[in-house]
Amino acid sequence: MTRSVLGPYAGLRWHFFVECDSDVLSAEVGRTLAPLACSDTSGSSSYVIEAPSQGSEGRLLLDGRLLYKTRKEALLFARLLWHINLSTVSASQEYVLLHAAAAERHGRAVVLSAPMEAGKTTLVAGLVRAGLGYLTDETTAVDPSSGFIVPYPKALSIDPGSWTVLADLKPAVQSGAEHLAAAQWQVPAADIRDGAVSTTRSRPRVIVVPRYVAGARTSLESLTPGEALLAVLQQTFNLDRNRARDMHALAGVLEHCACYRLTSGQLSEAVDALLEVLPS
Amino acid sequence: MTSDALALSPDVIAVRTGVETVVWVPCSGALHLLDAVGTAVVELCDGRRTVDAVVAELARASGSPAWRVRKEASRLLQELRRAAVLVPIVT
Repeated sequence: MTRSVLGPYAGLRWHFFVECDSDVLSAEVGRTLAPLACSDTSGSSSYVIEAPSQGSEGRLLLDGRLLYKTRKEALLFARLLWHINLSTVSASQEYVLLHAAAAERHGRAVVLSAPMEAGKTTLVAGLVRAGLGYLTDETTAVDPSSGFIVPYPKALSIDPGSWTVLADLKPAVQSGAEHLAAAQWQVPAADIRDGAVSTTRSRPRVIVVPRYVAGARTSLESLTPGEALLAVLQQTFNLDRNRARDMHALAGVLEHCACYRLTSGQLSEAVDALLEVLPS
Repeated sequence: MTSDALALSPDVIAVRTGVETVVWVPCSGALHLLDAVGTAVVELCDGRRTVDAVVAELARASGSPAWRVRKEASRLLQELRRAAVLVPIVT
């Protein structure tokens, strides 16, 4: 059985290839990881996906080491994406890493910092649809020395709860690969809008702590610098490892930001509210 | 011997932002947000001032009588000690 070799790819400082022995999986992996394509092959690790076949489990390996095995192709695919995100964070400790989505306009970024299920991906999809440049839906990396955001423009991972409001973003997966998009859509930003992936050096200018509440009226309330710093630190990866550096770096970044808590049950209203406060 | 003075624990990281202070306590993983009063209290606890001196300084800065300030300040100091933000000074 032949294997496709896909890549090289880079998630911040995580460089990798993916080998796969299934045409269906290869096509979907290639489509999903296309935004991370790079030209740098140095220091690359190699994922291998061995698709499940009759009577045998599929396997996911990294540099020859078994990560996961399952009889379900969709779970292999999901685990690959999960491990890429995990490794991206682990390999990129030189940056301050926030569990946050981000988009920018004219180099001024809005950072959406919140725990899972708060609506970050849905909100950043709405902002990109409205014309902002896409930076990330998962991990916002801030260079602590310059304050600039280093983009991690992975495909947006859209959960079923947002499929109705983002119905126009339903991915066109290859025939036979529908099961790979049954639990979550992977939508490259370029599929939302041509040229959506930001190529502009951007600094945070607006920090938003979003919260989706079904049926809620949209409200945007100002946060004090301390409230904003606390909220952002609670979503900082590996704070216990990078402590003082991250706290001081983020405090410095926030000095130049307007900070808000956003509550909304309506995507278009939430997007409009953020566009009004993002400096032009 | 333990004195009556308190100081910011050497194990915590405190970052002042505006009139507030965010404190991270590694041993518990807890993050605390101190308002302007909490910030003032922590900054007064320099390892030399006694609790009485901290209260007196807070009273002076706020223009309130010390007896009025003491109860709230004492509560706050206890909370900050329990949270391992402030530690007693051993002489």
